[in-house]
Amino acid sequence: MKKSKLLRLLVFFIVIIIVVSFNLSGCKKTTTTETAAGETSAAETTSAETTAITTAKLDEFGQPILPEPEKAVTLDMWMQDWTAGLEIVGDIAALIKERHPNININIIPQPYETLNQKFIPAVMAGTEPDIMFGYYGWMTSVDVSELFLKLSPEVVNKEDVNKYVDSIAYLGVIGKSDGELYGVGWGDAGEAWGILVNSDLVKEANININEIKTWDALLTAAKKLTKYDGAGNVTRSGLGLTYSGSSAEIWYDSILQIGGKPFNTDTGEWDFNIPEAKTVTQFWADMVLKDKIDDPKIGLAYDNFPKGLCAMFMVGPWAVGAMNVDYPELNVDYILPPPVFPGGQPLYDVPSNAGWVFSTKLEDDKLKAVHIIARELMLNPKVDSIKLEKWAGAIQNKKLIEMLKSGEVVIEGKNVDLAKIIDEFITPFTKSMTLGSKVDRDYITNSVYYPEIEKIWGGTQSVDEALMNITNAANETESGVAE
Amino acid sequence: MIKKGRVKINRFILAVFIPVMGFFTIFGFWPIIYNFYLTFIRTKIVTKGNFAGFNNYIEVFSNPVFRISLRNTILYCIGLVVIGIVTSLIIAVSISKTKGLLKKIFIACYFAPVVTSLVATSIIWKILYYPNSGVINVILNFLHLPMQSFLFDYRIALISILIMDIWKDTGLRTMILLAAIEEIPDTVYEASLIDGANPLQQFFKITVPLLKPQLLFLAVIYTINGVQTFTQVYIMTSPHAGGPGNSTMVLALDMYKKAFGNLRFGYGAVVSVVMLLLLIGFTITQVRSRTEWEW
Repeated sequence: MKKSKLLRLLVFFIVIIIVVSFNLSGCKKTTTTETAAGETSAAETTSAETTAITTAKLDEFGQPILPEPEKAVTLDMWMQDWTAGLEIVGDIAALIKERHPNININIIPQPYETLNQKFIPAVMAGTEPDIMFGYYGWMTSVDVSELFLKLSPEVVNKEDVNKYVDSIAYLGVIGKSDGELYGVGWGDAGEAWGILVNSDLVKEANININEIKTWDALLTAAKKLTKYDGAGNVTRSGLGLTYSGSSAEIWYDSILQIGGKPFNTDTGEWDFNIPEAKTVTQFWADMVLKDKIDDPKIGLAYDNFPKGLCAMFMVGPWAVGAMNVDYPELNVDYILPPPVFPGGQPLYDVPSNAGWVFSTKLEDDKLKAVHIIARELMLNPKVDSIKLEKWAGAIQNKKLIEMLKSGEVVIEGKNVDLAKIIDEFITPFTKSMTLGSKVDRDYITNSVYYPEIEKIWGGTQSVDEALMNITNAANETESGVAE
Repeated sequence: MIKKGRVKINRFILAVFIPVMGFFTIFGFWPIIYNFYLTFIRTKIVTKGNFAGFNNYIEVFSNPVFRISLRNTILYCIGLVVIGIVTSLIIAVSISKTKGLLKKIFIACYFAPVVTSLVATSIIWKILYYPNSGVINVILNFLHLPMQSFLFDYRIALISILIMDIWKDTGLRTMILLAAIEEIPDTVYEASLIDGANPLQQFFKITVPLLKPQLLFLAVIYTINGVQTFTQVYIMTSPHAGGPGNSTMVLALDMYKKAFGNLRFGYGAVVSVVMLLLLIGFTITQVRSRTEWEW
């Protein structure tokens, strides 16, 4: 064979491979918009059949009965490997199996970071499981209607959602594209930040945590619980601040609660160089630098707590369930934090920042099963009671329930109805987070803010420098996120 | 008589070569091309991206976190190569002076960390470094030395990870250098003794020069490793990977967080291009410098 011919053959071969690879890498999941005119998708066909067959019959939730899978199906689910969460999902799967014997859920635990990294790419590659648990912060910069199965109107009409689920905020995320529903919230009411307490250490220090009604009282208790060595270094933190997912988000929520507006919806720009942000950031810095109730150098609050090196730390109520499962010998308690600033509101986080989403690849019996699962999750109060036992959210927070029962907080409707809290505190936060911004709050708080507060705690930068850096990083990301 | 321009090709070799070339093209060559393409695109992969010109490059180079990660990566590489090779050389020379069972024991001890997984090693060292309760701090406390925060102290977090990294592969570097040392003829040392050379002069004038090929090889390999540092930093600084305060942020981690954490694939592609250029630059510099080492 001539040398030149060989070379031509090689080049031709390489070009073919490049062209084929280019086309393969350019493949996306087929969306409904790419469906040819005149064709109907399997979901639409099933939906039409469902409506035709079951119009006249309603289920126990007052919704048209959904068809059961004709054969037994098993649906794979990625679930974050948080121990209490896995137990909750396992119990929910068992409940669904009991009520719908043909439906099985195979739970595949995934570490948080792994789940975060592959949540969207798996969907793009078409390798996602049938059901996924995910956080809405992972979805705010994408159009969920292109990624996940549309649940309305089969599961429930979008207009009827609020009759059953009292937290409307998550619809802003998993229904953002066209108002339809593309997921089911993990919790269906407000979350609340709280303080996980080591009951033994608190008792040893003669502190009655139920009497802590102001932030000053909380700080006093924290100082009493903090231990120092001879050189004045913290050896046991009285109030841990280094569970970043919580402390960073509390920082953000606090700014909003005292009237700060870091995101301008008109200009689409972030600005943390505002008095409210400075007040809150300085407050957070002083707890380490002046009050010395924690020292980030002694390790993470969540790791230190079971070892008795952290007496209290700020975290969501889910941690109670997690600690009870992972460290059953530990005596823990949980209190809601008092208002941070005089005249301020109690610290409430936005509702249910996590949820279940479903694959668009589902067909036939699996699709029927998923519709049933989604309805059970949203409308069946027994699902909530499972979460209640494992402290999965504020509505399961027993302290909150006691406050609700004692009338200290007046809520109308069922005990899952936290409309008042949502209206007064949570909806404004949600609007400020989901309206216009392409950057999700999780990114601002965990990736941008938290390293900056670490530098403040380390003494390498001032509050003003930190806020400038946070503003710049937020705006760079906002402008850098693709349409 | 062979006609001009006609080359005899072994068809078997061709049949074997084409699939290998195909594999390399798909999984090696094509990703590089596509990556360069991504550097000019703003995309979340979910939707078709927009052409962004050089905006991704401007954004990356003006990002303070990127600059920190670039600085950390360069310092990490220098530390890994220089300290790693020097310590391994000293250990290799020391082991070469031993014999018999003791030598085998030393070799086994030093080589054991090499065969353990980097993930497992990182997790163990993270526990060792733990403030107050980690073994290292317990020993420091026992010796009445001040305890350190290691991975939670922004000043020494990166150095702490570097120490683990150097420790882990010391055995491999030592074995390579030991094998080379043992290849040096004894006659060379004997001749130097006759000329009045002391051990230190023997080391610097004989041993080191004759180990240059191996030293260059190790420098290149560990520069590549250093630029690609990710696993140990990610595991040892989790859940705040790259912390405290971005003090352990390195290029690979910055790329990973931006691309897969925030779906900023254009940004991530630019960082990977920077890593590639860094690797090429370091490697070329080191290979060219070998001519200056030759006697």
